[in-house]
Parts: sequence; structure tokens; C-alpha cells
Amino acid sequence: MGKEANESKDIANVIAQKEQEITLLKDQMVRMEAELNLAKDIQLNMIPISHPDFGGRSDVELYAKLISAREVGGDFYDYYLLDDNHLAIVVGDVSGKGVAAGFMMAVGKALLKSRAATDYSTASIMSHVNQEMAANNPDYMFTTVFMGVINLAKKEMTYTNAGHNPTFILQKDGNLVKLSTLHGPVVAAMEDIVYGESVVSLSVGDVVFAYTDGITEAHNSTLELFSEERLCESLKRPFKNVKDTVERIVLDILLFERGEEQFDDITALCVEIKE
Amino acid sequence: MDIVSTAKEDMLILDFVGQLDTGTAPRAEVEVNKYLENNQKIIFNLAQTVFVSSAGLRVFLGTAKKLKASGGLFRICNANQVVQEILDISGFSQILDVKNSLEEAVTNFN
Repeated sequence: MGKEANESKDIANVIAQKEQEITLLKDQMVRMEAELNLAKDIQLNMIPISHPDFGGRSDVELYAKLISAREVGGDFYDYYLLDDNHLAIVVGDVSGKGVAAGFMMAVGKALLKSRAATDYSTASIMSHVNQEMAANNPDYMFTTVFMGVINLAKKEMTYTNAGHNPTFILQKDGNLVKLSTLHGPVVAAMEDIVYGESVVSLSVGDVVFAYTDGITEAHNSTLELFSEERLCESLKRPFKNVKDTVERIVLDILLFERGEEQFDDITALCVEIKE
Repeated sequence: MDIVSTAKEDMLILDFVGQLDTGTAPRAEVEVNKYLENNQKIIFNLAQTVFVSSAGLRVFLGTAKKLKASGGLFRICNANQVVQEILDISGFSQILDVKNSLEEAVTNFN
């Protein structure tokens, strides 16, 4: 009898211990879920509205969209008028996920904007922001960044691509130009990087399209990628307006994925130069 | 994703087999860190690496920085066309020591 009583006491102990472990794991899951939600909030609260009217001005129209994956990736976009003639646009993708990526996004976005207030050279902005971010980066995180400063009076864009997917310009005659020049590595990876910049002329009717790799790397059930080729096909269709371009590409991706779960954030930012 | 290690003279060659992405990078990082304790010259051989995402690039960067801090050396070699393109666009081929073949990677590695 004594032995049996001991055995059942042991079993009761094991059960109690397992129950405790389950409770702990459940608590942990709730905390992780909360962290993911917090990261998503940080990300979505940080991006400006999709379709700004820039105080009613008619010489430029911008539309941007960020679709967050279930597990938050690190996409972000931003835009701001630096003065009456200069519009800055930014698209980036932070490595990693969760709260850490959210914070890096917030810091990168703020540093870019603050430097751009007094410095219109994207090369100089990127070099300064990289130095700041690389100096204190114990987790080896980094972010790709495309930044353009569009001079709306001169109709030209100065831009720097730091490890990001090349931006496209859909010219008014239907020609698609890829801005292939890379001006330096991803931001925050290494200190002492001096970034370059390029200038591209724009005409009324030209459209700038910047995006993240969530578009080109979206895939279907057979692991086929949406790819840059499909993106170009989508971009080459007759242009209606910036909102239509972005929404149509998002729809193309959804149709391509055919219900496959979206693994990475998808971001597109489109600017039309107008009269 | 599997990591196969081969010692060659004073170098350690790590073969990454499969995809190095968000799903596999955290475990790869833990495994690589174990090798970092006893090795100062490490080569990542990507001959059998199908794809590398930004999470994978973070493993490369972390390894390079840790080895640099301890006076060690790091090289990457044998990237396929897709991975090479990722290394080029991200600028990692500028900031890391990337070689075309394992033969090149083990040559004059000091």
C-alpha cells in the first residue's frame, strides 16, 4: 500500500509540474503575441498616410502602401516636403522582425528626416545616418534604404540606393527605366562608409516607383517568385494614376500568390510628376 | 538547413546546405557561434546554399564582426547566381571578403 501511495503521489507531482510548465508556456505565448502586436503597432503608426494632398498642390501626386506580414517584417516608407520645391521619399527594409526591428525602423526613419532638414544631398544624409546607426549596433541589424530628393521646380531627383531594390521610373512615353546604380551597402552594417548619389531628370508625366523585396520575392505554392520581370510587366501597363498603379500591383501579387501566406512585408511608393 | 564542418589546416570550412532564411537563420547563428569559440579562420562555403534572406545576411555580418573583434578572419565563397545577386545588391560583397570558389577562399587566407 505504501509503495502504491508513493507512486500516485509521484504521478500527482509530475502532473502538477507539467501543468505549471504549460501555464508558463501559455504566459510566454501571450507575451510573445503581445510583443508581435506591439511591433506591428510601432510599424503601422510610424508610416504616414497613403495618399497625401501636400496642402492642395497639383504638381505632384504620391500614393504609398505597406501591407504588413503576419509576423512583422521591417518595411517602412516615408515622405516629406523639405521646402516648397523639394520632396523627399524613403523606402526601407530592416533586417529581422519584431520589436527590435520596429525600434531600428523608428530610429532610422527619424535620423534620415532630421538630417534631411538641413542637408539635401542624399549621399551625405545616408553617410551621416549610417555612421550614427553603425556605431551602436550590438545585434548586427541593418536596413536597406532608398532615398530620393525630388526637386519639383527643376524636375529632377537626386537619389541614393543603400543596398535596396532598384527603383523604377515609368516615363510618360511608356518607357521603363531601372535605376540600377547602387551607392553603397545596407545602412548600419559597417561604419565609415561614404555613400554616393545619382541625379536623374524627370519630365511631367513621369512616375517614380520605389518598393521592397516583399513584392519581387512574393511566391506561390510552387515557390515560384513574383520576380522583377512580373513587376515590370505590371508597371508597363497603361498608366492611370499613382493609386491605381500601386493597387493594381498589389492585386497582381495576390492573384499570383493564390492564397499562399504572405511571408514578408510588401511596400510600394509611387510619385507622379505633374504640371 | 544543415551545416557541415570540415577542418583544413588552420581553417574551418562550414558548408551551408539548404536555405538560410528567417526560419533557419536563428539556429544557424547558434551553431556558428559554437565554432567561433575555437576557430579564428572561418570560411562559409555556399556551394549548396539555395537562398539567403536578410536574416541570413545578418548571420554573415555577425560572424564577420565577431571574428574581426577577436583578430580572426572570415570569407564567403561559392555563392550561386541568386545569392551572389543578393550579396551584390545589399552591398555585402563590398564589405565582406567574398570569393568565387573554395580554392580561392583557402588561398592566402591570412
